[in-house]
Amino acid sequence: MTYCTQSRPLSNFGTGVPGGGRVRRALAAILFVVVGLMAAQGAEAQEAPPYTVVGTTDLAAKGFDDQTLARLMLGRARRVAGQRIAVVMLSYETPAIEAFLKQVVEMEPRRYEAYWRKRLFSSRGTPPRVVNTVKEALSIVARTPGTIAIIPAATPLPDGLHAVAHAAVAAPPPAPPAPVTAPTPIPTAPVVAPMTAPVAPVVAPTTAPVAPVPPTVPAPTGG
Amino acid sequence: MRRGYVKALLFAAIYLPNSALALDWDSISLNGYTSFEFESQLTDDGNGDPNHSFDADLIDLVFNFQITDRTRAAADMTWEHGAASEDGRGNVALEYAFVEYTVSDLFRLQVGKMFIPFGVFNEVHTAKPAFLAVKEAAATNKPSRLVDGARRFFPRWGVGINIRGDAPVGDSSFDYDLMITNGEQEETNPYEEDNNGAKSVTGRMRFYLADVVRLGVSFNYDKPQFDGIERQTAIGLEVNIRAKNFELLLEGAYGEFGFIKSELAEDDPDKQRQMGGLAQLSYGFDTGTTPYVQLQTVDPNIDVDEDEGYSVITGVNQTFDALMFKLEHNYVVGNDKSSLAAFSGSRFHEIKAAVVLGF
Repeated sequence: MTYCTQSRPLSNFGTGVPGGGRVRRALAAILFVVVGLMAAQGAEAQEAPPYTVVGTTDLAAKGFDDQTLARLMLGRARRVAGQRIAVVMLSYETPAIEAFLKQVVEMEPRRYEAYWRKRLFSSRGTPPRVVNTVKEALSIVARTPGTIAIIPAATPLPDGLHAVAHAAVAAPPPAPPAPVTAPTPIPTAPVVAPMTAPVAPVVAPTTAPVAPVPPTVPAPTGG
Repeated sequence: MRRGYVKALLFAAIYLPNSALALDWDSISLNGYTSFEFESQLTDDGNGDPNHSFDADLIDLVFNFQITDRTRAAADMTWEHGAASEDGRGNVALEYAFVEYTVSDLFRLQVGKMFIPFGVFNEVHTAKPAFLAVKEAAATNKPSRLVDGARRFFPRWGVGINIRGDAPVGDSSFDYDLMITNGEQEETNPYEEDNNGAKSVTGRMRFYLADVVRLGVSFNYDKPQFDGIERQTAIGLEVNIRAKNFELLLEGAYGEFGFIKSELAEDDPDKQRQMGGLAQLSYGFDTGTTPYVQLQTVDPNIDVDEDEGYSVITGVNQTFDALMFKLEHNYVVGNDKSSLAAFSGSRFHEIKAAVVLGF
């Protein structure tokens, strides 16, 4: 999804009234702030480290909702649609994994680690496997039936793998303000609007080159 | 026909050694932990360590083998206090070794030697990376460590069958254990044979309310017919609440021990009722520093007044890389009729520290 903000030149705005220069500068400043905030929000959305959950195309479950993913990550579910699911991921400090843990599991990495220390040492299973590289994660998924991996969203996927869940799409930035109509166009020397640069198209964070997730999300069931 | 047999034998010889049950490394995980500890009693008398001792507390290895999609084998082996069997020093133990078959997430069947699933600490009682203090909570797990005359509410281990499961309920979830094992006793090896026909039954159910609140209830029932005990019953409650970086843990246990009547004198009571409790408040900073305060109490006999023992533990736990450092002060005090009354002021102070590695 692409958002485009257009601005119109302020060169001939407000110069025909007493104090028009101050008004123009004030409006320019306001617009500067507004557009700056919009750009910052857009930039924030861009900088957010989104994740993608990938699996092989022959997984029994074609998609995973957040609750199912959270239960898999916490070891409280091991089977989905009758198939045992194992999870592979990068280290907890990886921005995409940290974002995933906070958004889906609702735990900080440190707390998640502590959670698994208790669970692992009390014989309740093993935590998701942590690997060093995306390549390694994708390799494991490709060769191990029933394995899914959590990876950064921008990762190109090899044949045979597809996305089974995405990060929730960040809310788009608010619509740009309606174009300000100049009340009295008076030809003057052009005044360069200060904020034309940061309004580059804002791209929603989930633009990974992956297949769309089918809408059907089966609840975890025993096999 | 004969040629068919030869073919079959050849097939078996070639392929069976590489059958599906051979595990690759992706199916095996090896984890564990170690703990090196130091204890120093600050007062002249007490139950602590007056000699400021170092303790190679343990090294513990945890194995998990995912044999098939549904079958897992798990084992935990520990070497404690620098185990050296030739010198009769330390302790070597198989903490658990079981096979688990998963029918569904709600129904997993386990057979083997397992921790008794009671309360918060028993299943992690040696796993120092899994809790904040240097030692597991004595009040609910080893109450005689706090005050003499108290009994264990439940045994550490059992050999038998366990059913375990997890299930979601809306935004919340629950898990449960239901275990039947040989009862605890010392007449025979209870991990090999029982000394009577009665079996020990343990159950626990925990509710996770949006992962912020955990509520749990446990019970254990046994007829040991050993050490003067005809039957024993224990009930435990646990509450764990998280609010941002704060965590509050509350645990209580009640035990009732019925004595073998034929072994009692005329005026002896026919049972002992016991209580233990724990409250722990901690705050986890993002830096990995977690200060905590823990209050424990044991009443070894509810029907006897002034025999209670208490401890107040204040400490700090710092994680660094894979390491965990623990430093705490233990203040232990008892009422007039408790065993702690033998010490000056019925109390003592002790410093405990540990360097723990989990992997």
